[in-house]
Amino acid sequence: MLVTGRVFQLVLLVVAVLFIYITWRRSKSGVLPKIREIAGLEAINDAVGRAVETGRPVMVNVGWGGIVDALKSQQTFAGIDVLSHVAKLTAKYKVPLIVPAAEAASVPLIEATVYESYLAEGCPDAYKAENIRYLTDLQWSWVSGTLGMIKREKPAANMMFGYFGGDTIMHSETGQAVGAIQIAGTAEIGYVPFFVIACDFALIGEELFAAGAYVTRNAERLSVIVSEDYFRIVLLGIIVIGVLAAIAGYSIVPLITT
Amino acid sequence: MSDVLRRREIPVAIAFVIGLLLLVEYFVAVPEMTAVARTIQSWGVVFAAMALGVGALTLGAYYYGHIRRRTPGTWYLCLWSLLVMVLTITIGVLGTTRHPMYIWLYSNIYFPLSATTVSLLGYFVVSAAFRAFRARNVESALLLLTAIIVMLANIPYGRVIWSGFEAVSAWVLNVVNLGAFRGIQLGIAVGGIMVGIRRLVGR
Repeated sequence: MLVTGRVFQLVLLVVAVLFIYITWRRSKSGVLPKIREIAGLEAINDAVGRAVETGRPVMVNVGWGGIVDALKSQQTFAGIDVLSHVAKLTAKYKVPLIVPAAEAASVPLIEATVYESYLAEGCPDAYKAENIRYLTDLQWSWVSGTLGMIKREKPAANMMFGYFGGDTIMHSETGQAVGAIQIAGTAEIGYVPFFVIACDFALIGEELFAAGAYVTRNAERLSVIVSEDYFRIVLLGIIVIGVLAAIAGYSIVPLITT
Repeated sequence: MSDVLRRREIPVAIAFVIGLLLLVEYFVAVPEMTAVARTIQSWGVVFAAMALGVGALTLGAYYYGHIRRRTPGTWYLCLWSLLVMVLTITIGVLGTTRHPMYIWLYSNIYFPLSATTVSLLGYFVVSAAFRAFRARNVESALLLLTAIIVMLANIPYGRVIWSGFEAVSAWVLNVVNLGAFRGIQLGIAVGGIMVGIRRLVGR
């Protein structure tokens, strides 16, 4: 009945769901789980503050991963979580927010997210649909359009959270050229170094997935980050057992590929 | 009625049911369920295609707004983009993507422009490297040193200077770099799984 080779994956998934459930139940008490400070996310408020001072817009880019591709979409969703928070800040301080969208299917989600944030801050009239700009689904055409946008609109803050590829350096160098404060994060580990060298703040690896919960300070969401750590401990345990078993002349590979 | 349709729980419930179905189908081999999953995935493709149409309309409206307002420095670019977009869509829809004119547009306009944009990458990398590779502190000095070694190992002249560059570079890439890479990758995978579960339950 179960697909061969996926039994262990199912067991791990059940364990992950259990951890989420346990930490979520704990979060009901209202106590915020303690997680380490992420400088890049702490800087979001300052970046929006700078936009207020200079009268220039804020640009939030959620990458070109879109929401259709299952592997890339997680990063887009993580980016949209941060976008929601930034949109609340821009609504509160009356700063224009520009979002260059790279996939048509993600546009309604981005529009709804930004609109709901403006609604939550009590100023739906300040929401401008023309600032959620769908460009194209093609990577380099989208890059070209976004770079032009940065050059023309000169955002005070350029935030990039989501799936980015070889374009990372182009976005961040152009943002640097117009003097924007840049905060960026992607889970595409091969491209993180470009963000690190060209942006003021960069999120590394899974920090992107923690960003949404971190900025909202929502106990329920933060509890998921705690459950991630429990899950990592389990994975580390499996790795250690695997190494010890290999030293002893056994292999756990057949077991985990069952 | 409209209030009921606007409730957040409805799309969350739809996403949960469909997500769960696709998840179960991944683990359980039931032909009927596989057929349902394939149909749902086909719907996804259709929805994405429909969204592309909506996206084109949104883009057209944005361009039209600039043209109507004669936005300085922008309106004529918008007009040009709009004309090219309409022309490409018209030829693609009426003559299919195998029409000689469509292929000409793709090969002689889209492809060279796209290649030009990618080519700019080299200049951006150089300007970023110029700022990044400065020994301001211990970490950046280490970065600079490592980069020099790896770069020298990848050019023929590096081997002329010292034949050991290749071995040092291979050690940096296959031991230090790969270890850190795999660790971060593991963290990313766990983060992705958790975001997926959270999205599935609408939290």
